[in-house]
Amino acid sequence: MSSSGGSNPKKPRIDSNSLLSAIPTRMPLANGPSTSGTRPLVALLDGRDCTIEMPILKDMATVAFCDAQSTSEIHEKVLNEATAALVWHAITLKKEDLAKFKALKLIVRIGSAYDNIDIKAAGEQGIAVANVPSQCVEEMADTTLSMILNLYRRTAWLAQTVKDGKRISTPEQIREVATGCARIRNETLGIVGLGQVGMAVALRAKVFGFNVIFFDPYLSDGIEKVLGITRIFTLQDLLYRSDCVTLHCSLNEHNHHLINDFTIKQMRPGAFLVNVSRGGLIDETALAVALKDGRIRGAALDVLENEPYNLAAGPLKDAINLLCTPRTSWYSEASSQELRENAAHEIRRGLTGKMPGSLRYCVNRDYLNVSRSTYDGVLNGVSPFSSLFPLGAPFLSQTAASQLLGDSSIQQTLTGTSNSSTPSLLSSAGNNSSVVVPLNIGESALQSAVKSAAISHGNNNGGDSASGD
Amino acid sequence: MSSSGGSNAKKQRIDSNSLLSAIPSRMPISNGPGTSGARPLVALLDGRDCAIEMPILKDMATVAFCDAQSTSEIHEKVLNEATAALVWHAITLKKEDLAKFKALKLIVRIGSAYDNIDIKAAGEQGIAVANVPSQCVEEMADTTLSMILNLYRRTAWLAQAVKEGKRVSTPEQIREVASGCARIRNETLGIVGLGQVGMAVAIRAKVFGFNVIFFDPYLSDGIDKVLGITRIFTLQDLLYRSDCVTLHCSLNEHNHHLINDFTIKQMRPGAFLVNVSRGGLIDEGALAMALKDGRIRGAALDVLENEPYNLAAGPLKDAVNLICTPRTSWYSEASSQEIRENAAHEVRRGLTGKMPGSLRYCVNRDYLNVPRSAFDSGLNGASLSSLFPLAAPFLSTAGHLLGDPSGVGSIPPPVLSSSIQQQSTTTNATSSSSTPSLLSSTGNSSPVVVPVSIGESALQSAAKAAAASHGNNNSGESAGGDSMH
Repeated sequence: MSSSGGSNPKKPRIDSNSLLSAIPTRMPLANGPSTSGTRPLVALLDGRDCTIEMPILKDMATVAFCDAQSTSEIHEKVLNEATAALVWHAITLKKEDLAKFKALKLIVRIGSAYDNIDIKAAGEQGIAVANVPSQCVEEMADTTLSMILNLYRRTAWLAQTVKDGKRISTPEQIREVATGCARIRNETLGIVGLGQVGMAVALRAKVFGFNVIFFDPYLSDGIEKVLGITRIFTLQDLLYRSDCVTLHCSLNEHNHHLINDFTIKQMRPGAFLVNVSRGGLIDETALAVALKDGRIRGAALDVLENEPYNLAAGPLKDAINLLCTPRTSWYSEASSQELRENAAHEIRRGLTGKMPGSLRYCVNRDYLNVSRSTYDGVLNGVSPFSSLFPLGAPFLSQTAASQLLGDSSIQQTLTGTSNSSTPSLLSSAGNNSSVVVPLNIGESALQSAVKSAAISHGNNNGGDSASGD
Repeated sequence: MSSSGGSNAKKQRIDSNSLLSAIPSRMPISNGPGTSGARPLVALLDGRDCAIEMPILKDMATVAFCDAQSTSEIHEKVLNEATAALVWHAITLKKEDLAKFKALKLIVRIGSAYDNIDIKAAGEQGIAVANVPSQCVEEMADTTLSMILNLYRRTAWLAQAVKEGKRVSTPEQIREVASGCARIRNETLGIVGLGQVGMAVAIRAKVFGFNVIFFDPYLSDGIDKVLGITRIFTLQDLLYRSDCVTLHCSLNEHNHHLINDFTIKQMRPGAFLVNVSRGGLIDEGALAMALKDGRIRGAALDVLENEPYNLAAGPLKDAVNLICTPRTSWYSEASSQEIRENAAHEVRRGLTGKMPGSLRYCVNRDYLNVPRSAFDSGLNGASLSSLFPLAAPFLSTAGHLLGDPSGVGSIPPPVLSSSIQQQSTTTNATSSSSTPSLLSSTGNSSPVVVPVSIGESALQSAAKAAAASHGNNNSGESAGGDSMH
C-alpha cells in the first residue's frame, strides 16, 4: 500500500483524498465522474453507425467506431484509451480479448443476448457489463409466431413456388403443392424457457388454438395459472408432447446443444422446431440429419451456431424445409432506435455515476471487482460485500469503506452508524453522527476480514495475503 | 303438359300416381327419391380424385369425374345424364353452360366461394346450388395472419435472401436487409367484411397488439362490442385509418374491384394489403402500379383475378414486395378431408330428399324454380317459398300442384286466393297449410274433398300475382284454358 502525504498516525480523522489516492486503479480516478477534464472515449467496437448514440453522449464523451469483428482489428489507441465500449453480436470478447483493453470500465451490449462476452472474466478485470434487455420482446415474439405460421401454413414456401413459376390450377395440383399444410387448432406448442419473449409467444399462440405447454426450471410456481397454460417439469416430457417446439432460453453452460441427436429422438416424429434466441442451443449437424430423415418436418431459425452468420458454411446448407432469417427477429425500425438509445443512456449512467450501482442493466454485478486494491491477489474474482450485504451493494462497492465496516474492531468504535447501508465515510452526503475510526487499523483485522470473505466465496488464492509493510 | 290416364273429371279422389306422372319434369321422377331404380349420376366436374366422395355416395349413385376446366370438355353422356355435380373453383358455370346439362338438379360447390357459378341462372333452370361454408374458417384465418406477419416481419423475404446466399453479419447489414420490418403494436388492421373468417382474424390480430377496425355494411349493431373492436361505417374511412387492410368479403355485383385506383389513393401511403377471399375484389393493374410507386408497401394475395391461377400472365408478374400463394389458404389435410366429406353428404341429402328443403347449405333458394310446370313462364323466377316462407320445405311440391291446371287435384292452400276459398267445399281440413297431404305418404286425418276443376281464372290470377310480385312477368304468357291437353 503506497502511503501518501498527510497520514499522520496520530490523527484520527480520515483524509478522504488520501484514501482515494491510496487505492490503485486503472484510471487516475476511481469510480466516479471525471474531474480531470479529459473526456472518456466510448468506442463502438463492431459497427460503423453511431448516429443515434452520438447525440446522447457527445457532451460528455468522445464517441468512435471500430467496425471490427475481432479485437485484433481494433486500433491500439482504442485499446489503450477506451473507457466504455458498445458492442453488438459480431465481436467475441473472451478473457484474453478483454485483457487487451487498458482503460476499459464498461461494456454495454446493444441487445439482450450477451454470450459473446465473457462476463465473468470481465468482472474479474473490473469491467462492468450491461445489456439492454426489454426493447425487442414483441418483435421477437411476433417473428416467432410468423415462423410458426410459416411452418404450419407453408406460406413462405408456397410463395416461392409461385414465384418460381409453377402452374397450379386444378384441385389436385393445389393439394399436391400444399401438402404439409396443417391445421393448428389443438396442436401442442412447447416453449422452452418462459422469459419475456416466451410469455409473449404463449399469449399469442393461445389465440390460434394451440395447446401451450412450457418448460422452465428457473421460474417459481404459479406462472402457468397466470397465463392459463400448462407447465411441464422435464425437458424430455415437453419434447415428447409437443408438435412444435420453440426455444426462448438464454445460453449458459447447461444448455449448449440442448437440441441434439439424443433430444431430437425424444421429439415427436414430424415435429417443427423454431429458434430465435441463441445459436448454440441447437446442434446443427443433428438437425440437418433429422430434417433429411423427416423426423423434424420443418425448422425455422433466426440464429446459427457459427459467427459470422453464414448458412452456406454450416451443416444446414442443403437442408430442405428450413427457413433461416439472418438474426433479424429483434429488428424493427422502432426497436432498433430504442435499443441504441437505451444503450447510449446506459453508457451515460455508467460514466457519470458510480458503477455498478448507477447501471440499470448490469449483468455481472456478482463477478465485478470494481476498484482494484493491494489486496488484488485475494480479492480477484471476489466481491465479498455485495454478496454479504446485498442490500447495500450499490454503496459497498467502495471497497475501502466496506473493509472498514467489515472489521469487527472498527465496528465497535463506530457510533451512530446503525444505518449500515450508508457508509458515511466516503459519501459526500455525510452522516449525522461523526464517525471516529482509527486510521491505523491494523492489517491483521483487515487481513482476517478479507480472508474470511475469500473463504466464504471459495476463492482463496492460496495464502497470498497482503502482509504487513 | 302431358295428361295421362286415370283422370276422370267426375272422380273426385286424387290418384297420386297420375299426379306424379302428370308432372312434367326433367327426370322421369320429380323431386324425391328415385323409385324407378335408376341410379343417379353424380359428376365431379373439375377434378379427378373422388376417393373421399365415393364411399359416401356409392350405394345410391354412380360417381364419375370429368377433370374439365370448361363445359366444352365435359363428355356428352355426363351433360345428358348427370343429376348432381360437384365442382371446385376451376370451372366456370355461366347460364349457357348450365343449359347444356339436361338432367342436372343439384350443384354442390366444394368450398365456400361460389362466384364461378351463376346461381341465379341455375335457379331459373331448376338447379339447386349448395356450398360447404364453414370447414376452412380457421385455416383461412391462420393463413391471413401468416401473411400479415410475413409483411410486417418480412420473414419470407428474409428467408429468401438468406437462401440466395446473401452474407449478413454486421449490424449495418442486418439493418439494411431487414429494413421495412415494422413494429406491430398499435398498428391499425382494417378488416373489410366481418364474416366468420373476418371475426377469426380479428380475434387473432388483437393479441398481437393491433388496433382492429372493420367495415361491414350488412351486419347488425353490437358485433363491435362482442369482440372489443371498432366499427367503421364507410369503406373510405376504413382505408384512411388502416395501416394494413385485409379483405374477407364475398364477391357480388357491388364490390367487384373494390380495391382500385381510386380506393388505393384513399389508403395510407405505405399500407399493406392482404386478400385471401376473392380475386375479383382487387384491380390488379392498379395494385401493380401502387406497389411500384410504393404507395402500397407490400401485398399478400392468395387469389388472383384470372382463372386459372397464373401470376405470370397478369399485371402483377414483375411486382416486388408481393407474396402470392396459389389458392391454398383454405387447405389443410384435415379441412380438405372435411369439406369433401361434407360436399358428398350434401349431394346425398339432395338426392335422397326433397330439394331445396333437404339441402343444408343451399345458396340459391330464392331463385330456385324447382318443379317445372305449365306455368313455367309465369312462375319463372317466382318461388312460392318466397310467398310462404315458413312453408317452404313443403310448398316445393304443393306449389307445383297449385300451378297445374290439368285439374287432377289441384289443392290450393287456403290463403292463395279468396275466390278459390269460396269454391272449396271443405276447407277446415286444409287449415294446416304446411302439410300438403296429397303426396305425403303419412296422409292426413281428414279427407279432403276439393273440386277438381278449380277454374283457371283463379289459378291464373294467383300465378300472375306471384309473378308480378317477383317482378318476373313473362308478359302474359299464362297457362290459358285447355292448353294443358
